[in-house]
Amino acid sequence: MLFLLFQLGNDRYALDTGQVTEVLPLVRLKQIPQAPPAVAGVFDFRGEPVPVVDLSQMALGRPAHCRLSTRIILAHYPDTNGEQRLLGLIAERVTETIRRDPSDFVTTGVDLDAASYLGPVASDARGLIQRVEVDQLLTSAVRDLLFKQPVAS
Amino acid sequence: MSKPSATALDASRPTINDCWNGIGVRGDSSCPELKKYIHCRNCPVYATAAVDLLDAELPADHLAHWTSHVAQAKPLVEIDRQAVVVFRIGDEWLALPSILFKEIANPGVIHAVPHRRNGVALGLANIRGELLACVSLREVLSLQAAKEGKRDNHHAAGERFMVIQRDGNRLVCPVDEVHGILRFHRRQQIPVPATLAKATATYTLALLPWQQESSVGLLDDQLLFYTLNRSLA
Repeated sequence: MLFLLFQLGNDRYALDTGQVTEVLPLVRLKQIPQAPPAVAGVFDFRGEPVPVVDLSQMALGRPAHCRLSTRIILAHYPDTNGEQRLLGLIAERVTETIRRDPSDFVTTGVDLDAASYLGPVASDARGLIQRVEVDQLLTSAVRDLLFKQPVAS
Repeated sequence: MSKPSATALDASRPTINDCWNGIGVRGDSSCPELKKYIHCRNCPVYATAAVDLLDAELPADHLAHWTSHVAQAKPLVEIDRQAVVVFRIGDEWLALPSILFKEIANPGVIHAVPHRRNGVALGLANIRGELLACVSLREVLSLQAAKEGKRDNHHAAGERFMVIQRDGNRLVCPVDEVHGILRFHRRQQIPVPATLAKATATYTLALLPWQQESSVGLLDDQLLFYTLNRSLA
């Protein structure tokens, strides 16, 4: 399986590329007033508004650095009705992919309710890589905020 | 080559140890790691430097450029194209999808089959040692033979056997001339005029513009094979 690597702080995390549609450079986002801080905004993706969540803000409490290696990962996200929608994820150091067997990832034994998106870990020469599950990323409050209203097609 | 002047952008970039210019393949190749990696592009130091370059601050117009870029609709690749083989029967230029074609053969002898002379079934032809049923498209489409004046040696030289296959049925169709392959987009198809009451119209799906003023009739291969197989049964 192919995984897309990114960083939160100094640690590396992996997303299943099957859930990723595209990796985009940073773009200018339209802010959403009064939204939770993790919601970075909305941008126009080929004529369709796509909400963007800043993973650094969500997990570390600080916005992602504005660098060339900080990118928007466009992922499939199932909304409350089970329909696949697009969700943008701002992540740092999105520069690498790795090919690993899913069985290389073993559970950490640490299960945080607040961070249920964190999955099992695998190790390589540079340390541990933790899997991140896109489906679990948003709290129900944020998910309802971003995906409750049906988008007019 | 003169180096570009250092701008604020360059200053913000992390300093990079460009060892490949010194001891690597672009320098004197004295790096001991080269024995292992053969070329600097295989070396992790080189890859790390590339990643470090991406850690630079955003260039000034970066956000604006990419914001407008991703807002545009993706240009659609035109895949709705079709290739057809253009051939002539009498005075009529016709076309069939090129996917049907197995071979364009030189005309040979058609062996008549007793009691199978209904006009459409011409007999059997020998194509590379294989006996295939030979059918007359002229008869099916009720086309007239070319005017007598045209049927001289020059035109007879253009005659070919088209070996076409659909759903495992292989047939041989003698034609007066094969022009070649024409590629077109579905948008270019012109609907068949409703006033056209010839038998050809029944078998024609659409007209294709060809060679300035003229057009080619694209035949309905499904219907055509159905009729041909019926007449052979």
